[in-house]
Amino acid sequence: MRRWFLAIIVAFIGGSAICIILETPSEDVVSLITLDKRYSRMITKAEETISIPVYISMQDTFLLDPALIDTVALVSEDVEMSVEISDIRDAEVREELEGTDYHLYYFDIGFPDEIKTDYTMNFLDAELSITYQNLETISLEIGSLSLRFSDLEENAHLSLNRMYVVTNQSEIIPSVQGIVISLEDRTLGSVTLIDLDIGCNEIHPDLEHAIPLETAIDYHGDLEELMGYEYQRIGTVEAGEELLVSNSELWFIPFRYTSEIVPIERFPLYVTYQIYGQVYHYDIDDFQFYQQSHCLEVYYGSLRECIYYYQ
Amino acid sequence: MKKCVIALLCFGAFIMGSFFEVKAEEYQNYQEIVFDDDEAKLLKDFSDQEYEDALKLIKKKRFIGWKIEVVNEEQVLEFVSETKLKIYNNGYSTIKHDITLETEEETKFQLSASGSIKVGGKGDVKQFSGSVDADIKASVSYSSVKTQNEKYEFEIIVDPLTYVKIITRGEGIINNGVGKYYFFWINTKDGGWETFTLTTEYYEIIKERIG
Repeated sequence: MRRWFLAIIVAFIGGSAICIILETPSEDVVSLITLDKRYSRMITKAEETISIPVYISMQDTFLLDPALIDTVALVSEDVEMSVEISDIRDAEVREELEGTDYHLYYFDIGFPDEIKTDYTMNFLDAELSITYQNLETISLEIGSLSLRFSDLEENAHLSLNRMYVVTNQSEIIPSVQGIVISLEDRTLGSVTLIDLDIGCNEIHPDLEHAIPLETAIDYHGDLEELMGYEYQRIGTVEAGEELLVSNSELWFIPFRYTSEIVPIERFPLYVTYQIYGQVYHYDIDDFQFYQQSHCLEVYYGSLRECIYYYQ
Repeated sequence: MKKCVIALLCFGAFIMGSFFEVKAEEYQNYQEIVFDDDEAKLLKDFSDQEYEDALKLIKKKRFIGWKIEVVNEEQVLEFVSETKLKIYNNGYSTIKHDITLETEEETKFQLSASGSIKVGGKGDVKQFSGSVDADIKASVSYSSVKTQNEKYEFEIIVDPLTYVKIITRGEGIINNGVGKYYFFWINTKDGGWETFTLTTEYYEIIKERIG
């Protein structure tokens, strides 16, 4: 009888222990959440970095120690480039997503070897591949990047006077409807814009539908009201359009999206213009036009997860 | 005795008068603030009568602790902030300048209070002092989230005898109201409270000639 009692107690304790182990969330799994974003940058200095937001479910992990990183690369289907992680910064932001607490960190990507080589690299659906000294590798889906490595040069013909974007506030995450820009023509009226590029393959400034402005407009005006007709934000942009800079002090140039409207808060402007048939270029460094504070849930469709399992 | 009562009343009136002094926060100094709802207003713009009327809405007494009333809940506003920075080039040749911009947590989430409600908190955590903080948290969407954004550097060429300035505009959300403190069901003090959360900030770059 006593043995039976002992067996029952042992079975009960054993069963309870198993239940507790199974119920306790495993500490062996780390979830890393990234955003599918559009990055367009003009890298003008060796010390310039791109900050990639990474939400991580565990703080006490080697994955957040830059000293333990061996190699880092930006990888897309047809191109790969070695980069470095110059810093991993704790933003001291905690957010909950589907019952899990995430901590926001910024992975600062640097390009020490790529500066002053004057070329552009495009990464479509890029992954940030990080290999640690223990030979473990994680791949973070970070979206699409366009990087132009170039020095910023003075321009004798054009100078930037004013610039801001007009966004669509009716969307949960506002997107850029167009840019308001004023360029000073220093050549007595002979500069003609033939192309404006923001370095993102999915978004194109539409010179054909640019409109001169008499005064500055609201930064989130109604596009239809502004254009005077229903402007198609998705579609293609006609090449070969020209815009005589001196025709107006201030221009509104709408943006057309290739297939879907995607948010982009920061981008450079690569201006191509001509003077009496001679083609020139004028670059404006990437400018932070706006920034938003949203909780993770708002970006639900753009979230990408990487899970690391401890061995 | 009569003199004592008058003196006490005068003292009381002085105390009440000083109650409605709102501690200034950065958002209150924005050049222009426009609410989507015309009826909404900042705590500092409450008239004495509006403040008193809001206090009267708190009818249920409490044994000990704060009772709060929300006057403006989740009110969306737009603002024009002051110039973030100006870079002058007084010389006769162009200069290349690096601009670094960062929106600190200080700007993203701000609190104001009046009367007996105070803004406190330890270290980087912003909150109202004492137990009223929990009451406000229970009534409105309120978080002490810190937002440290990505590093932002912009390189620009500034022409001779010009200056470049960056101005900001944006949108935010205001919650405000009043509160009464009870001690043994007796109202012993009151005050106003306000939270401001910055949701979107826009930057504009403008070049102008000096002089």
